Amino acid sequence: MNKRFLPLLGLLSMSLCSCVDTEFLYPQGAYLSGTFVDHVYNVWEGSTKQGYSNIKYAKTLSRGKNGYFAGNGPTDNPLECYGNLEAKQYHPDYFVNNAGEELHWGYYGGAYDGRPEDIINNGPGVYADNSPLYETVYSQNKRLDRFYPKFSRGYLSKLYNGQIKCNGWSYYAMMVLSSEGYGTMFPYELADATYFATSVLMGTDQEIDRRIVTSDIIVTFYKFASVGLEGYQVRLPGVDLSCNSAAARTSLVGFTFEDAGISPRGIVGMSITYGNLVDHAVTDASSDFASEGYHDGLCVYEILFPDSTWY
Amino acid sequence: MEQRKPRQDDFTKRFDTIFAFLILEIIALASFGIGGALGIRLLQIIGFFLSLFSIPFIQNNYTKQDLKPNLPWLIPLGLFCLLMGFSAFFFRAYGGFGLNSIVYMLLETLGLAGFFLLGVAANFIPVLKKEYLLYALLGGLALYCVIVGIYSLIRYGFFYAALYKGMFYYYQGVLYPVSTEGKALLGFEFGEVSLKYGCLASLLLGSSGAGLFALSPKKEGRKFLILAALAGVGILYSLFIPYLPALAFMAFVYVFAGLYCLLRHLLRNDEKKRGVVQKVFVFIYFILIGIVTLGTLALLLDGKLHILSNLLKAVFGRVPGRLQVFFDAANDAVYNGAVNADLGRIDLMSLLFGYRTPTAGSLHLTSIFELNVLWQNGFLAFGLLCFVIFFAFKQGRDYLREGKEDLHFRLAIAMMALAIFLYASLFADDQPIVHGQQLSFFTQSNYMMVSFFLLGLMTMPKKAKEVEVHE
Repeated sequence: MNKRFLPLLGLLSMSLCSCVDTEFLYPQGAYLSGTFVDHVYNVWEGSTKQGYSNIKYAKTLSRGKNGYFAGNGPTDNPLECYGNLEAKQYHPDYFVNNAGEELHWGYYGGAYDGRPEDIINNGPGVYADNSPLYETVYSQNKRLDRFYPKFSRGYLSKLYNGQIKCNGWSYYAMMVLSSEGYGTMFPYELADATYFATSVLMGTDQEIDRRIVTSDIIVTFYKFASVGLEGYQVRLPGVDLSCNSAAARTSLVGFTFEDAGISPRGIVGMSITYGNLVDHAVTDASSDFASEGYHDGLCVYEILFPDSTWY
Repeated sequence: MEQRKPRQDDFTKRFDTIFAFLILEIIALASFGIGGALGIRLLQIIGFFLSLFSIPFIQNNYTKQDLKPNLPWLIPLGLFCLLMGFSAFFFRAYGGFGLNSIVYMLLETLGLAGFFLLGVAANFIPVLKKEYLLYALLGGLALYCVIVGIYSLIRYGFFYAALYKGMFYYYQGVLYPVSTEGKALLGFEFGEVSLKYGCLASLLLGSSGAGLFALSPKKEGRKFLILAALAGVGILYSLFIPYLPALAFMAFVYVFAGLYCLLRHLLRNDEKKRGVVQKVFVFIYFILIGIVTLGTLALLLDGKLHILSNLLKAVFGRVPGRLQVFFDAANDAVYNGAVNADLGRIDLMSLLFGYRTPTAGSLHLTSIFELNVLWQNGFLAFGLLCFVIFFAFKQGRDYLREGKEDLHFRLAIAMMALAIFLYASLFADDQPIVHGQQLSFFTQSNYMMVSFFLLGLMTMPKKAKEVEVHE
C-alpha cells in the first residue's frame, strides 16, 4: 500500500465520526414563530414509539397524598394553580437545599420580598449564568443539566435548564405538545431517583381570559428489555392546569416512584401524552393540531428527576 | 568604522545553553497557550523572571552609554506595559483594593515587559539558533491547531461553517448559530469560542508561511518543507472550518511578503529607486498616523461635538447599530458613561485610566482592540499603544531591511506580527466564550505575550555613536 495516502485516510476517517455538534440543527426561527400550532413538537426519538405499544406495567394515580401532586386552583382563580404548593405540603423535604435552607419556586413579575425569580433573565433567548440561584431556587437546584452536561444539548435542553416559567421568553421557554405527545431517549441511564416532576401549563390559541383546562396526563418511562424498549406507564387523571393565550401560570405536576410502584433504575427514556381534554370555558377546543378551529395544547417547561443519579 | 565586539562574561558563558533552552520552552508553551487563564499567569511570572536573567546577555552587547539613545522608545514602552496592567477598569473588575487585584495587574505588566525583553535577548544569545526559535514558536501553535483541529473535525465535521450557515442548535434552551463558533482549548478542557478568537492560532501559524518566499525548495529543501508543513497546519485549520477572514488575512500577508520580495529583488542594484519606494512607504506611514489621530479625536469628542455621529446619520439616516458600540465605548472612556456624555462632563479618571464603573450590562466591547484598550485602560494607555504600534511598524521595516537573520526567518516573524496586529484591529473578541459571559481580553491573552515577544525579536536597540573597541 502506498503509505503517502495514510494521512489522507486519517483525515477522511474523521468525516465518519459522530459530528454530534452538527447533528441537531434548526433553521433560524424554528419553533419560534408567533403561531401556536407551528410549535407542536411530536418527535418520538429512537424506538420510544415501539416502547409505547409495549407497556409492561401501568398504574393510575389519583390526586393527593400517595398519589400525584398538581395545581389545585379553583376554575375561577387560575392564578392559584401552583402544583408546587401541594408538592411542598406532602413532601416539604423536597424543597430544601443540602444545607436545609428553603428553595423557592420563583416569583412572577421580578424578585419579590427578597425571593428570586426562577432564572437570571438577560432577555429572551440570551444566555445567563444561573449558578447564583443554585442554592436558592428549586428548579435551578434540581435542573438536570447542572450535573449531567449531556442534557445541555438539543432542542429538549430547554426542558432541563431550570426555567420553569415563561419569563417573557414565549416559545423559547417551552415545548408545545399535541395529543400525539412526544418521546425522548435520555443521554444517560437513570440509576436512582426519588420522584419525577414536570412544570407544565395548558397553552391555547383562543383569545379568552384565564381559565382552567383539565386533562389526563400519561407519563411513560422506558427501560431496555430483550425485545427493544418496554414501557412503565403512570396515568394522572384530571390534572387541572392554568390556561390562557398569554401569561398563564405553570404548575408542578409529579409523583414519587414509590407511589407509582416503579423502580427508577434502568430508565433510559420517557414520553408524555395527554387526553380527555376538558376546557371549562370553550367546549370546542381540540388538542389535535391538524384539525380546524381552536386548540389547547400541553406546554412543557421543565422535566425534573430531582436529586437523581445517572450513569 | 570599527564595530564593537560582543563580550561574554562568566555568567552568560555558563548559562547560555540552558537559558536558550528555557526561552525555547517558554515561547513554545506561550504560543500553545497552555493552562488557560492560570497558565497565562504562570507564564507571565516565569517570563518576567527569565527576562531578568536575560539582561546580562543584552549587556554583553551594549554599554550604559547605549541606554540614552534608546530611552525615547524604552520609556513609553515601559509605561505602556505598566498601564496595560494597572487601570481603573481592571481595578474595578478584580474587585477593588486587595492583594489579588494588585497581583493580577502587576503580573500583566511584568508579563508583557518580560516577553518583550526575552524577544530582545533572544537576538543576543549566540547558542540560540534562530531556526529552532522559529520551530518552537510555530511548534506550539501547530500542536494547538492539530489537537483542536482534530477535535473540531470530530465534533463538527468538515466545512461546517459553510455547510450549516444560518443553522442553529439549542444549548441549555438557548439557540446558538453553529457557523460562527469553533472549538478551543480552555485550560485543559475543550470549549466553544467565537471563530474570531478560535482562529487566532491558525492565523499566526498560517502567516508564518510568508517566509517561504525567501526560501528555495531546491537549495534549502529541509527548511522549506518544515516551514511549509507548519504553516500548512494553520492554513488547513482555517480552511477546514472554513473561516474566511483568517484566510483573507493570511492571503494579505502572503501578497505583502511576495511583493516585498519582488521589490527587494528588482531594486537590489538601484539605490535611487529604492529611496523612492522608501519615501512612498514613509509617506503612507505618516498619512496613517494622521488618519488615526484625527479619527481618534473625532471619536473621543463625539459625545460633545457629534461630528462623526452626525456624519453617519446624514449618510445612513441613523448611526448603524454595529457602529453604535464604538461611540458607547468612547463615551464610557471619556465621560464615564453616556449619561455624563450628554451632560458634557468629562471624567478625568475614566479618561486617563479606563472606564471606572463597568457593569455586566454596560460592556461596550468593540472588535477593534485598540478601542478596547482605550475603554479598559484609558487614554494614556491608548496613546502609548498608538506609539507602540508605529514603533513596531518602524522596527518591522528596519528588521526586514537590516536584520542579521536569514530573510525567511525575518519575513516569518514580521508577517506574523503584521497579521495578528491587523486581525486584532478588526476582529478582536474580548467575550469569546460561546456558552458563557466570561471576559477574555485579547490584551491579556497568550497571543499578546507572543506579539510582544515578536516585537522584541524585531527590535534592534540603537548604539551610542561613540565607538569603543572591547577586546
